[in-house]
Amino acid sequence: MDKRKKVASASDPKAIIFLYFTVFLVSFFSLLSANMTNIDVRREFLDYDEFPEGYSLFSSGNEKTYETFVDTNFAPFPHYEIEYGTLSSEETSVESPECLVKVYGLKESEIPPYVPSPYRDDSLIPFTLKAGNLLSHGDFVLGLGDFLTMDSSFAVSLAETGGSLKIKGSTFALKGVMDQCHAAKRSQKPIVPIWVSKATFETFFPPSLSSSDLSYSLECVAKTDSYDFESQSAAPLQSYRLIKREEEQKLKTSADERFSLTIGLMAISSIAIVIIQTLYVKGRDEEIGIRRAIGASRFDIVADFGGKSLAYGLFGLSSAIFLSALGSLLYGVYCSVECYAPLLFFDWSASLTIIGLYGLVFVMASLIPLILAAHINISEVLVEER
Amino acid sequence: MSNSLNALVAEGLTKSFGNKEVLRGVSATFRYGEMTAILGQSGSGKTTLLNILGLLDNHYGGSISIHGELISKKRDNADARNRHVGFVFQSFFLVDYLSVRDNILLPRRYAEKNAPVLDIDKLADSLGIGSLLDQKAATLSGGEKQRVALARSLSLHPDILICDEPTGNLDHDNAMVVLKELQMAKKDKAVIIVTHSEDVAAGCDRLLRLQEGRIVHG
Repeated sequence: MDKRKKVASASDPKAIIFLYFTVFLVSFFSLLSANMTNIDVRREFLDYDEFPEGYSLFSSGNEKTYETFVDTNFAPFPHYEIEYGTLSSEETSVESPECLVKVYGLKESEIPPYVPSPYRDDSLIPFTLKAGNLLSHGDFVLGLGDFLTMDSSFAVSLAETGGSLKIKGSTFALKGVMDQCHAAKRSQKPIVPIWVSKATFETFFPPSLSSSDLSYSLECVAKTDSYDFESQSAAPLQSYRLIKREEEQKLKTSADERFSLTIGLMAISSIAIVIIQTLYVKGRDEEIGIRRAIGASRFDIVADFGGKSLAYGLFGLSSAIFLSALGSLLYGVYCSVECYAPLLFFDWSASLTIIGLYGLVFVMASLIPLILAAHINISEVLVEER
Repeated sequence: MSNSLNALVAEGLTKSFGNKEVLRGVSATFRYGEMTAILGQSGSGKTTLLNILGLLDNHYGGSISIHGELISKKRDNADARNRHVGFVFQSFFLVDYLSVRDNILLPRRYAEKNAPVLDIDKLADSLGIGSLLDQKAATLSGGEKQRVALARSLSLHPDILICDEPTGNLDHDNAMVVLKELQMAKKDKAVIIVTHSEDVAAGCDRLLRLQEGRIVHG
């Protein structure tokens, strides 16, 4: 029977535990940071995306009738018309978090520029229909309020722009999100997107339906009457661009800071690993010498002294990947971004880059001291005092 | 004597450290069944010679053949050390955190799969350490450690056993036990001992005396 496998390899539990936690902590925070940045980017650009003129953001994949919604107690949408930037409906009927808005006759020059999100200060403010430059002439805007997003019929993934979405069994291609329009703190969970739609929209919400026909008992959490097209249109487009650029720069700075932190952590960690491994082999030169003398090759030495370190380091990396993905998910839910699509929280390219880069750093940092130790001069370390 | 009985043949070994010549053309043949003592004053080149004979040092002039096989100076020769050479050192060099059994088995870890091996239990019993196999090496006395080191060096049935002051750290009784074991071990191998001890030298079949890097007697 070959008993070689029964011989214990060199190992130091303390060094291995140090290595495990070093690798775990660095990779965990790096991955979490990358995915938090990913979430922040998504969150910011949901607000700032500009849609091409006349772009249809919401369209039906099949034919569904309005009755279908009625049958399933779907809250009907009040219907408003905005003409030249003025709400034509009565103020009372405006008070709904779910509103269908048709924009008539807006000339390009009259399209209000981007309105900076006033709810950034986390204070409760009235709903403002920030059509901004997102609407085009003839567009329909469907605002999904708190009620609808929390309705079980919407317990589906609010897919990314470009993805699809099922509402009451109907598939819709989701072309984009105009803005958030919820009178709540930004950090709160409900996402209240406004979908801009064209095409078969009237199949679902017949124009003949007047607000007086509608019966719903939604609490008013939004006020469209606070929207002032006049003042909005006065804001120069340049301001919007400036604000957008500033926001992008802010985001970029935040991402850069996190990236720098990641690189810094990796650098510190690589130094720590080198120190740990060097201390680990330091003072063991006699043991390495005798192992070499009785037939261990340099590779054997690296394998004997580094095998467990590598195994535990990779275990640390694996657990960091898992826990950082979980942490990203929680952060995403906290930030109310695409809370039904957990995989979107994970920035695959950044995560794989970090895993690859840090895996390489870890392997190099842990192996270099061992490789150097394996090249000791055997006759020197085994020389004895006479 | 037949060449097949030559375990190790060294021819014209030279070695310098800087400008200092430590070995100056040492040639010697070590035969199976023979125990050879290498004697000499400090600085005479004994340890350097032993390192070269044990394949621990590749940087030398001349050549070495073990069991008729010329040893390359370009390779690491870890496999040749594993197959052909056993070491016993004055300081034992056991791995303290391993058990006696694991210490004895250590050369097997690096051996080829089909390498001939001795029965560890029998070997340990013959050296009087059969009852210590599961103890940590750190807990042993000096004499016990040296016997474990001897068992380790013999476990792969080497052609050559190289001993550097094997009794240097032992009391008289333990030294005699180790010498007796070396006498027994020499049957099928060449035993080379570097020693200052006249007692050890007296028990050897042949003496090589080194002086200023040359063999002056042997």
